[in-house]
Amino acid sequence: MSSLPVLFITFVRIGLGAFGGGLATIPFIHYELVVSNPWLTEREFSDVVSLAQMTPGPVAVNAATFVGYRIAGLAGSLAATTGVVAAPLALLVLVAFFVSRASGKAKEWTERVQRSLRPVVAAMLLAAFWTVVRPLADDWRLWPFSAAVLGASRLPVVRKYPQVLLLGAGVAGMLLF
Amino acid sequence: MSLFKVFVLFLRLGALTFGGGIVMIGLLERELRGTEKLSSEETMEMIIFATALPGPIAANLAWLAGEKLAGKTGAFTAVLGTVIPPFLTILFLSKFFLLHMNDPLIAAFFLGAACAVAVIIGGVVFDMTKISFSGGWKDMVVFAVVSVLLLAFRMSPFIALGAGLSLRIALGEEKLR
Repeated sequence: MSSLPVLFITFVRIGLGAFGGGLATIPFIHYELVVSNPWLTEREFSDVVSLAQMTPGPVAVNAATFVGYRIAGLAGSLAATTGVVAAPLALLVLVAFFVSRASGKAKEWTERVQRSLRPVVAAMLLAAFWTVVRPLADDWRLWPFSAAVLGASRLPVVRKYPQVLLLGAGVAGMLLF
Repeated sequence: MSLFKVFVLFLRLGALTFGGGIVMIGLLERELRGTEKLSSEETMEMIIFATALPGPIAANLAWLAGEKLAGKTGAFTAVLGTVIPPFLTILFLSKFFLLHMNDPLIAAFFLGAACAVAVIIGGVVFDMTKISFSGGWKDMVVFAVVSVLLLAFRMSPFIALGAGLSLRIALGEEKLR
């Protein structure tokens, strides 16, 4: 089966669902890659999210590049990444066109949608949190470990460079687990 | 601004933007400050647009800013510049990661890093919930409904998002903000 169109369409859906950006996209990525398609296990999904947090770029783009590569090599990476970036941009151009035509009313609506999205995005983030925590919760060792990470997250260095927390926790994990 | 300059500028932003689009707008403002290429009003408008619509916020912002700086080709160039650094980073790491993801040491690293991801998302959830709860009871109701749909009913995030957004719009705007 040719997997490129499937990859492309899947990531078009993720791109169009990714309201709120960044971490709020996680439930959509999880739904498409773990629930709907057997492309990633829960653990692999969690690894991809960690990898995405350690590297530059939006989570959705990072996930697209990784999953695309895994399923269909470089061509898969390109298809998935193009899908997740280009589909929302096409929508953006379309909406911008109508907003420029339709005076103040459309702009008012854009702002209203943005405000209305706030509590929805907050709930998406809660679901993202649960997606990440659920596979970890059974392992009792991770509770005191996470408490220590939470403590470390208050350090000024970490506040400035959050990646330090990820790398530090990873290295500590290598020593402890 | 020349296309080459736009490309280099967004290549730099793409490589430095960890965590997503909102971080990028700060970097973009710093880069363009004093050049009078973007007024703060234009910047505000771009943020509203990029966050009211779906898709990776960094890519949406790159499109809008690139268009302001150098027209439609500028928009395309800016998106390309933003996406290339994360794309190449993940492509490079994917090969290594797929070969070694089952090594005990690498698995331990990602277990530790996942705890840090949980802590980071937990922090974002806490902040976002505070913000959306300050928006009054309507926001709280929408937050609760979407959370229940996602977590208790395991509903598709696409449906939960549509339901939450429609509900919030149906409830109407607060008179006093």
